Amino acid sequence: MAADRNLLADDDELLFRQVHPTFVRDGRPSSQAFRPTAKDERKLSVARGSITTAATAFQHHTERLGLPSGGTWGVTVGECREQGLPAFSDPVTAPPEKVADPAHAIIDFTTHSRNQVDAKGARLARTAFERGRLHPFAESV
Amino acid sequence: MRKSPFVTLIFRGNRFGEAAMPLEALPELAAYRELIVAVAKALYQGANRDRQRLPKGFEAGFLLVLDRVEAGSAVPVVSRLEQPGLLFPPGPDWFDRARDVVEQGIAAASKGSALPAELSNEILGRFGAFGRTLRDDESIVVAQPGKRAGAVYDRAVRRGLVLRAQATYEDDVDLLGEVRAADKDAEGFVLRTADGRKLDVRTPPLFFPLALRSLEESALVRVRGSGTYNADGELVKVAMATDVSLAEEGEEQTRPGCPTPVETQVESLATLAPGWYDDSSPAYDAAALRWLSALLKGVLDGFQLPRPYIYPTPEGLARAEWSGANWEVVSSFNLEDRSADVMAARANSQELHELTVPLTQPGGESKLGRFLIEHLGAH
Repeated sequence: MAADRNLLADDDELLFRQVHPTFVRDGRPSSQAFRPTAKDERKLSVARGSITTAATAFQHHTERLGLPSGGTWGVTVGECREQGLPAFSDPVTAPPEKVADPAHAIIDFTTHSRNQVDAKGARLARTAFERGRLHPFAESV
Repeated sequence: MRKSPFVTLIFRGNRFGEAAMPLEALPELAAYRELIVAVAKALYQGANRDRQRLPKGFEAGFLLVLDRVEAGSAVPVVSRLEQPGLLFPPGPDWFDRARDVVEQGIAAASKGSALPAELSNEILGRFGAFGRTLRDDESIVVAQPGKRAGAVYDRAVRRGLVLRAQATYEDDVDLLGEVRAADKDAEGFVLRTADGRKLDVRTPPLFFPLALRSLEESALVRVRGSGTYNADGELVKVAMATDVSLAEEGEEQTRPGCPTPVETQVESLATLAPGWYDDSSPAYDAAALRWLSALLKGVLDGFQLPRPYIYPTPEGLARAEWSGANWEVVSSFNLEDRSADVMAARANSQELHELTVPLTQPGGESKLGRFLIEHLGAH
């Protein structure tokens, strides 16, 4: 568990989320992209908007980590807090990891049941979709 | 003038059940002729590279008429007219060859196999005009004259042919939404659809006053026209609106949902190879996906529900999602035991409703449909 001193307090700070390409249908991200998978220990990885940008976060994910992404979407710290989801700074250092990421943060779902996790993820996805894809910019927006 | 049968086009689908051609489908016949003419020209030019021009009267000599409409779905028999004094050229007839190449191309595309070499990118692009009026459950069987069996042409085949030549394709759109910005100089506006997408809409000046009214009053408008889709089937923009009108009463309750047909979405899951997400993510079973497609079609039609967005999950479930006016609804289908776990989360509170439905039991589909309509209908 991240220490409270790492709790993100600026409600306006954007948290960038990379969405797997198969989780994007007709420009809409699946809500499963905004809730942790079973392997994530109920912590959802994001990148801090105060440290990086939507484009840089995308490049970090796809080029440095070599992972696929259908784009960067975002929710704010305040929008997470409204769902009872605290967000924590969780910078990655190298070593021990191969690639450092000072912007890494997590949205903490650990105190919620599996069903609540699904519901909160769906609400976050709705908010992110209404905000629109942040990178690459959709041609139509 | 002498007539000789040229092609049999069998229109299949509910609209064509009375052995009559709906007027709105008639443009398909003209589009078919244009396609044949384009292919015939390409064939001629390919065989006569030393000639700068087509023979005089090449296109004018190709006259097609709607001879009659036979029963057994709507079967327009298209015949060719021979003009007096203008004999068909001796030897190979370019239009007959073009007809055969088109049929072969459609058959190849429907099977995912290699296309005839004669179908250049320029020709493939012309398939965009043929089949535009077809609905999701409709198709045209393109058969030799006098035959009832031939290549099956539907929306998916049309899209596949066009996308072999270019990155986008055009198809009809029918959207509901509010105008969020308008630019008279650019002859366009931005439409925000009920499911939150923002789309650039190019429009003739005729519709601008209504667009401005929607902008000022947040009035719901219906936009019909031609949309540009990318290779993933995403609607990128409305290339040209042919009608912008105020929505009818009650239409605000009709949330359009995903623009891609359910069948196409479900089929896309079949393309995922084992390990598509991580080491443990499985491939999807074709029979299970056919079951899911039929189930969803029945439930959506039966309860008049908007189309969901359908996604795979790393665990091998199929996930259907709806963004309703007040609820986010997610149904996770277990394709092995044929059951669904459905969750409805109210958007502006922590209210949560859940349901587990065994879909192999009688009444299961109805139970699922009722839960969905309770959360996706007007509230």
